Amino acid sequence: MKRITILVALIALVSPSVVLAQDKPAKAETKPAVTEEVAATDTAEEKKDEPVDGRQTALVSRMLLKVINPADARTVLAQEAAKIGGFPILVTDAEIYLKVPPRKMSAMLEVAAKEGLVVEKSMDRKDLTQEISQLEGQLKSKRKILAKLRGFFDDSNVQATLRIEQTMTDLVTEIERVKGQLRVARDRAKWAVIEISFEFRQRDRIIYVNSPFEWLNTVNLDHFLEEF
Amino acid sequence: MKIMKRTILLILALIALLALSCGPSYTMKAPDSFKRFEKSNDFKMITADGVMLKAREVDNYPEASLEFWTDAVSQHLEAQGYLVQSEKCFKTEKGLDGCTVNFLLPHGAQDWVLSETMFVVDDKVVLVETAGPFDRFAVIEEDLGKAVLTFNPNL
Repeated sequence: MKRITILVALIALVSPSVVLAQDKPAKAETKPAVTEEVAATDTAEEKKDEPVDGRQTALVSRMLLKVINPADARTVLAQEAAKIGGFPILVTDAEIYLKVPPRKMSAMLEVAAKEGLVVEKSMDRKDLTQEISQLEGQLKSKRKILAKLRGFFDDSNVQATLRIEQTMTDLVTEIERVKGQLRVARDRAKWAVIEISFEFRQRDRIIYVNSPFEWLNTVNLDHFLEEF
Repeated sequence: MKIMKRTILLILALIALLALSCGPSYTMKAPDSFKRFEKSNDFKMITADGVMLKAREVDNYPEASLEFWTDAVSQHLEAQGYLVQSEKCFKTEKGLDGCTVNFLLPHGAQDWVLSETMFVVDDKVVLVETAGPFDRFAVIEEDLGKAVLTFNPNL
């Protein structure tokens, strides 16, 4: 009776919409497939999802690099990235995105700067430690609940087993979602991203601004081309 | 006597007309790649791949220094979204102070450079303006830098 009460509380906690049958508990004849899948993958993945010590930081550096020949520059940058353990993740006519180890980012930026004229440069730094810790916590607690639910199969009747299985399926879906988020967050911390553009990204950045100095209003490219 | 007066007036009018039609007499040893529009009243040149150069003058009003106008041009164009690519001040061969600011901007599908070289000569500001796509401008940039050292507004 005590176990049933705990089961009710647990299922209500995980999925409030689930209402348990009031039938007398009976032994489940077969173990649901979902529990076997989870059992097989959990042990290995739990190890992989163990918390990593130290600060987890996502680094993204953006650079507008003017070069005479973008094709040559792209090739050189990809080769230089490979030398330091990095790789390109996006290559187009106008830009190249590289992933490099965070510790090598400054060196890579210096190499890139030598390839042309750095017109604009910026860097975003985001501490992911809290986000990763929260995801790890969520994952841990969801796994604990899943493990507890697994133990209730022995004392459940068919109807209750089906409901437990449904709850476990939902839980596995949630676990997979959290694992995905965790993988993305860890990847962001593992690799620094360098976004190099060879052309202005914002093509419509020019806006007309009136100057109090009259002749300055004639100093702009459109006026030059018109008067030429 | 009357005929003589009329003749003098006619000659003066012709001189004035000639002076007006000639425009400013700027001189500059332009890079070989630039060809001048000889028949134009304006001082303008172009390269085979379309980098354009033109000199003109505006009133130095309110009267200010070269430093002031260089700063004003930079700030004005930056406010419009232009990026300052480089800024360099120099003395021409004739000893005239000048400053060149190169700006970068998106124009159509390409990125262009607008180069503004300024000289302040008494009540005039003389501008030597060059524009062209970045990749073509970059090729002649060094030669252009040497050429502006030979610029003489002849005001």
